[in-house]
Amino acid sequence: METRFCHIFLAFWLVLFLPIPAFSQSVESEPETTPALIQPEVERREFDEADIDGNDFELILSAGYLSIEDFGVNGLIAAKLNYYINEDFFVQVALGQSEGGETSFETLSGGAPLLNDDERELSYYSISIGYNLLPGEAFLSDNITYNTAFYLMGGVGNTEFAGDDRYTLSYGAGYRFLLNDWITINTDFKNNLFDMDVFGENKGTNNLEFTLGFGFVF
Amino acid sequence: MKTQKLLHFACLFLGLVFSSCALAADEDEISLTIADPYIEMRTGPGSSYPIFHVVDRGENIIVLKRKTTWYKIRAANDKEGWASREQMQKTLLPGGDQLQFEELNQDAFRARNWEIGVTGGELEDAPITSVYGAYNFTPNFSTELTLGHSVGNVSSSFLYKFNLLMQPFPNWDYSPFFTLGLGNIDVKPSATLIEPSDKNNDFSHLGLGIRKYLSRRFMLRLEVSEYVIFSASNEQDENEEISEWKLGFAIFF
Repeated sequence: METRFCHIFLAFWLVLFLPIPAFSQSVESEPETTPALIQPEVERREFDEADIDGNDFELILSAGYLSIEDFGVNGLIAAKLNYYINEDFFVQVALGQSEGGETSFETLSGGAPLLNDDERELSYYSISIGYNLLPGEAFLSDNITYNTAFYLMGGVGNTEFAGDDRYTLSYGAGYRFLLNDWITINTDFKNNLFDMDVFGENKGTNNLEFTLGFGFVF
Repeated sequence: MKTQKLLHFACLFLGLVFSSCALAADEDEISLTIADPYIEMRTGPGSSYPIFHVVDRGENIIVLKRKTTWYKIRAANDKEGWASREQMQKTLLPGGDQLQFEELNQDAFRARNWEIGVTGGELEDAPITSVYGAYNFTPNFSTELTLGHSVGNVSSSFLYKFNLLMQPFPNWDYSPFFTLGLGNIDVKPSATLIEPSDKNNDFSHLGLGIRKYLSRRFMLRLEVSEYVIFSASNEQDENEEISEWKLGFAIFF
């Protein structure tokens, strides 16, 4: 009888307390998953590439001269937007405005003008690719240095002059002088090739352009 | 007295502005630790500019700005210069992780959302220059808006068109596509010709082309299109049909 009691008692204890060691074991293993006691001092920050200020665009406002074949040399204002693709290449969209003067014929004959005032207005746009051929530095004194670049450009566009749109090819070269990271001085020499039929027959014309401008990098 | 007060206010205002700027700058600053034996600082953003300084392993740098694939950095000794993207990728973030720039490769090209491009070609023997913008809904399907200007000997025309683009095999190296759209063309005859007046007509068009990923953000695009111009009227029995080819490149984002 006593042994039976003993068995029941033991069985009872077994049922009641056997799971405990397993439970206590799981308690012991818990510290492995708790966070480290020493937190790193540096705070983890997600890095976002967009936080870095990108400077791939430049807006250039410039003024200069445009020689319109047969119509003299005239003032020109232009706005240009550059997008720098990589260290070598850039794309440029340019808009310009000028006005044709009198042809020698008009001046000498003193007769009726060939074009009216509206037709004498010239405006153009162009889309060009530029190549930074000679990136370099200019040394003003011992410790004042400016970055520079001599570049080549070629593009297509349209010139509106003498009442008509004229498909225009342009090529040229320029020099960029970076005063600092934001402001540049640009000077461009370009030839604009387009056909003109003002004098009856269609002929190709060379129209040289020189501009000097300030650029703002953003 | 009044000016003094004004001066005080001005000082206070400027102080506030500068302190807020300084705070803002502090928040934006990205500090990195050099993990390579050293990184090189150049005087300009390009591989042809000379190296004037090196920053050793373990030193910290601050990233100031980016121009194309070059980063302007400031070293602990306040020296500022330009480091290449390749070298910047071997630096560590404050948490100890390696810096990872977004990889601009074919996968990024396939996952693109926006695309802006320039093309040149011919529209019925007259040169045409176009710009276009596109939004990609899925790798197979996108929508585009194109502006074109064609200048010929007898007339110049300005057109805009809206089209849908289907790209059945976006994973192919040279990936073909089909376009279908509607638009409007405005034809202005040359001033030297005696013609009635401008012609303005709607059109529909169907196109076929090929796209090729070049490198970084660039792709090449070649396209041929057929236009049906809805010019039929009382005087003219049939609609005009014209064709176009163009070649260009685009940048994607």
